[in-house]
Amino acid sequence: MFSHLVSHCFDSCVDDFTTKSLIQRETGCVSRCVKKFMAGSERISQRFQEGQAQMMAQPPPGR
Amino acid sequence: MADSQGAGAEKTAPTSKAEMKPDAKATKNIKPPNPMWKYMGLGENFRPRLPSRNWMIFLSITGTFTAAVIYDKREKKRAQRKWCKLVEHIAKEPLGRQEMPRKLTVFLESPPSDGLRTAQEHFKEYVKPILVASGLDWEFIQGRKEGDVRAELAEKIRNYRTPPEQRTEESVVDEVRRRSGIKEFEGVGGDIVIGRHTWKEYVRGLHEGWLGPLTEPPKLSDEKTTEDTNSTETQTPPITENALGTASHSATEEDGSSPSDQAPPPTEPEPKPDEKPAKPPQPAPFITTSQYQSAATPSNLPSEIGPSTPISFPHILGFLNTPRRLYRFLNRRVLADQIGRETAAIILATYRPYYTTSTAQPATSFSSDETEVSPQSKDQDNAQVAEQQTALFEEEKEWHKSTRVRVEGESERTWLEPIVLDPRIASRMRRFELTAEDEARARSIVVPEEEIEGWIKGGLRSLGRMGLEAVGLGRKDKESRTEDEEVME
Repeated sequence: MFSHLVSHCFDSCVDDFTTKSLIQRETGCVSRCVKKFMAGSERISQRFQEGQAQMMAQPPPGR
Repeated sequence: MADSQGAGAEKTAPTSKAEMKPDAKATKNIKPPNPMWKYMGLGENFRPRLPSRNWMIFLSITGTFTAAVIYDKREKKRAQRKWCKLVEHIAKEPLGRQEMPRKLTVFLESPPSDGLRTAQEHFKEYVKPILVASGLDWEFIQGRKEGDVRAELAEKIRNYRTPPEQRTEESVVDEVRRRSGIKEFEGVGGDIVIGRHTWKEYVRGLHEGWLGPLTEPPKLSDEKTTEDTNSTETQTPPITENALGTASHSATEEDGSSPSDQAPPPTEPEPKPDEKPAKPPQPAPFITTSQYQSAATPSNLPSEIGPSTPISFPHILGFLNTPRRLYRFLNRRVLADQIGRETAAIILATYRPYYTTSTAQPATSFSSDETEVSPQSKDQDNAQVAEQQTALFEEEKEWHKSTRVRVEGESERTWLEPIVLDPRIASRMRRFELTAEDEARARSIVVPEEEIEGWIKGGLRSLGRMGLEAVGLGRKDKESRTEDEEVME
């Protein structure tokens, strides 16, 4: 998951290669990207957990 | 030149050709036209003409129809984009990590003598785009035949009414959420009811759920024995309320199917020995309309019953109705604007109580005449008519005549009965409506051409743009990343 995070945020944020260090826009973008990624994956895992619990309790009518 | 000063001399033509052949060129002093024109049919005998009479008829008919369709499509898109823009700001509001977003409930039911898919497509076409633009969440309560929505809604309300300790079917999802400390949304929800038929069932289900008993009343009638076993399986809580007068009509439909997307698991039917399909039958209403007045007010009746809006769903069948349907097809922009307005009101969560109108003036307070309103309450000549009863009334005339056929000994026909209201419930119902300033804001929204045009015009536009950029007259307003969004905590 960490590698996903790294590649996603790097691809989205870091695009200025005139200098090898990160410029201020990019650092801001990266920190926001990380926060958003974490919050998003947390929310998704919560929904997954609920779905799992429901599937345990009441298996869907499978065919 | 002295040569060129002839009688028929034109303006100055001091070309070398004029010098070489003055006589021949004096009369024909223009260059011969390119012979290609002649070969293409635009020679000396060319005269611009209109197409023939038959072609004219054809082109005018098809051109008119095409223009009408394209105009209506574009205006419909414009209207929907306008309402989407009005509610877009809601999608950008942040949500805490342990909070759930607001969830609306959409009630869909197949219109009389048609399938559920028509209702679903109506929703997808008119309501859903604006819901999507606002970022809200929604769930469905769907019904395939008459009474499904009512039964499901009443069941939901009864579940809500039973004290938590006595609930047998606690939703697993709710449990997990409570354990993890996830908070449900704290504001109002919202009920989107599509169509008059669904609206009638919604009102009936609301009353049945809040005023009816929590357990199924025992049936008096001598129906088939399978029904009794069916009726006991739908309600298993051990508590028994005071049994009200039993319903005289109580046939449960055998071929029931009540699909739902609800989180609470549906009741499992016990295995039947006979040919009954494995689908739960639809329970009959727990309380009749005439028993509303005598029913006890539940203690946890909320002061405001979830704001709701009936959404118009014009639906007409029949070959001879084709002209009317064609007219409606060419005027879908009006419907889109109207439904867009109501959906935006739902999203912006501004609501008001339902009106009671009398012939003279609209009043906002209900009188006790409500429950005694005669079945002809729908016409405005009576003293007190509630808005809930007249909502979307014109749709009822369009129902197919087969729906009005009453079969002997069948259960209550919610669609055919007039809407009966109990003042306790009706006074607590709320309806979404846009505030005046939201309306003003909507009126001032301008939708640019780019969002309305189709793919042909859009393709040409991007081609032109690419060409301009290649030439160097690129766009001056490149989108810049603005720093106006706050950093999340």
